[in-house]
Amino acid sequence: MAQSLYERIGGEAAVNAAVDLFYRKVLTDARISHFFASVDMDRQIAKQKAFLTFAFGGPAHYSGKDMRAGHAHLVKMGLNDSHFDAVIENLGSTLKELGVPAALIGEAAAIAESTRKDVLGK
Amino acid sequence: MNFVIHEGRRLECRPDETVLEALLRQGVDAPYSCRAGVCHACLCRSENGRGLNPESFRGLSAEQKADGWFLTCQAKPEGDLVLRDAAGYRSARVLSLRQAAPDVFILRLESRDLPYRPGQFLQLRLDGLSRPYSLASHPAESHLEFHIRRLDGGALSPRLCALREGDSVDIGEAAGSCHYASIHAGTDLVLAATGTGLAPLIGILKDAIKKEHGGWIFLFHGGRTAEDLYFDGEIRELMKKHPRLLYRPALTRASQNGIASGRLTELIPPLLKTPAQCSAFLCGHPDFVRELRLKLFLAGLPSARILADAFSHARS
Repeated sequence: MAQSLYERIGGEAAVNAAVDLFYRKVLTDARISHFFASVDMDRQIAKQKAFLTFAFGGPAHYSGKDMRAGHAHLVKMGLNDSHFDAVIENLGSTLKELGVPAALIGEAAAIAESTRKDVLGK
Repeated sequence: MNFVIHEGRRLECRPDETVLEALLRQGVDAPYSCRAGVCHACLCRSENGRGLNPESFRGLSAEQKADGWFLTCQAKPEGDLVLRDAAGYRSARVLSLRQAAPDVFILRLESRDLPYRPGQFLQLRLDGLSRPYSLASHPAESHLEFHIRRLDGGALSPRLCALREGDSVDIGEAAGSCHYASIHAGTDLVLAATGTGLAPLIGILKDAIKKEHGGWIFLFHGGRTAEDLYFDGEIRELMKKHPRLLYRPALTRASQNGIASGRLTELIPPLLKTPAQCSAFLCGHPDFVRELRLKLFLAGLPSARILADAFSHARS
């Protein structure tokens, strides 16, 4: 049986390696940093880990409903497609920095992309 | 409706309420501080914690969980919850109380072999009133030490600052996860505190010295005026025990005797030459801790090596 994306990308160790890089990027990206500013850092790190685990095709328990409920307050703040694009971009550059092959980055981006409608409440 | 059973009373816990909210609403003087599951001041023990939500155990060790510890500020029980009576309080005798600054007192209690890790905190209780205080002592020392800021109009601190040698205080069990560990051994330590947030960092510093910490240790203490640097002399004594300990006090109001002037949140980040190789321990005013934590993280410190004890100023 073919290995899952999560296994090929490096599993939990990859999540742990990526989380600080990724969180630093979104916090310093002027396009989106304000969506991340008000939340306590411990919680934010936990959320980013859950997101990365999900994007890497790992064991995550997100439903479309969770995604909608979890981002509804951000949609009210004006969260839109351009912000979603910025997050995907940061995900890509994080993985590139970690030396993840382009094909795997594409797979992870596609998984993250699959949540767009729910995250943006469309 | 679920119930929380506390010292024999059945207290109702509404579906949208945490255990802490239920206790406070019904007149229980339950300890708490951050209400966000971070500070662990509300740590409490249950007889039957199995029906609790995962958030109730945020940051607790497997051992603590197995012993029934949970956080009341995060807990939403799915059934009735039986709390253990006053979590393991014992009585401790006052050895000494020394005034170190106009509003800061150094309280020493006999240790009675209390198990703790340097940097942890416990509840001090007097006449039924309790508040969390950090330990500034090391278990190898024969006493427990606390740094108490006397807050005018405070409920507990003025009473603690009026204790005399031979008086008794109740002490709870030590808790908290802000302590020196093996992952810090090969790194440079950044210990940064404002006010009496210094206390747990002194415990951590003593531990690092005892464990022959290999890297540099930078101890930053921030205050408004020179009086706030109440532990200056003791720190200079500790410097004799560790050749790579650097003490960097800073004052926001008046600059005196060559002491740096400014806020630690501005002064520290540019001083760190290799932030990715540092570990940080932060304690003091919650805004200070939040701001410095973020800045250190953005400067390159790994999030897992920035430990914060964010509640010291919420004490009264």
